[in-house]
Amino acid sequence: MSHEIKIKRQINLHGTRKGTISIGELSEPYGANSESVVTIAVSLSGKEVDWKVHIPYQNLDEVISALNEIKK
Amino acid sequence: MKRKNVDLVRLSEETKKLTALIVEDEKEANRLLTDTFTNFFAEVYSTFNGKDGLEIYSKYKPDVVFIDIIMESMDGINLSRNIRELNRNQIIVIISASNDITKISETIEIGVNSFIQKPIDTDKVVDLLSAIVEIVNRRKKVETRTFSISLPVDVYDRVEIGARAESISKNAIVIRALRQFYKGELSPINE
Repeated sequence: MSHEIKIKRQINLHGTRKGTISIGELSEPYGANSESVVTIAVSLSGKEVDWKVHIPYQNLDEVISALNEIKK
Repeated sequence: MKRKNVDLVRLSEETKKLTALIVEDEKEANRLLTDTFTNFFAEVYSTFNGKDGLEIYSKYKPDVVFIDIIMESMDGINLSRNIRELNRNQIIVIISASNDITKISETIEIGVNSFIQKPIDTDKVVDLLSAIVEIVNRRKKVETRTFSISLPVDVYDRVEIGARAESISKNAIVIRALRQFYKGELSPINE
């Protein structure tokens, strides 16, 4: 088992000095051969992660569509 | 009563000092625990079977291990027994959907620390994490009580005088004295 996080993008967290939102891919999140998920991590300090969510790729389109809807 | 957010923040500050391993062959339960615990522990290792679980345990020595009681090949009882042999103080939590009293009594014999029942209730997970933090803190206290150090007599004397002069605890001055001593910067205690 060797889960690994590849950060694809890091965004400055609005309203904080050093906070970040990191978006990446987490491989084998639930053990060997488990499917990769998208991970979104929020860090208020820019160092330690305060909260994370894991989203299966199969749900990604729906999540993006919901976010776009909220944005309107 | 609704749990206050501040409780969760405090709890996660404590649990984030720890690492965890989840050994659960049921995909949904594994996912729920892994995703929830990712927000609480510094690192969460996860696997679907006992054999891999033991390998990961030996490699990473996580602070807390969550083990499903019923799994193919090496079940939760055997895995717990193997882990106990490696570390008799390991914190082990059994995940169980079983009402099989024989199996549960076997885990009690091994001396597991706690149980969580499937289907997993996230509110109960938080209670369980609080109980784990309590176990860890209790152990730390015991370690502190049995910890002893020897100070050179002159350092000890200065600590005594310094504590009286500054009206602060002797422990605080001992820490300061040790820091100076090991840095090789031993100077008068009243800096």
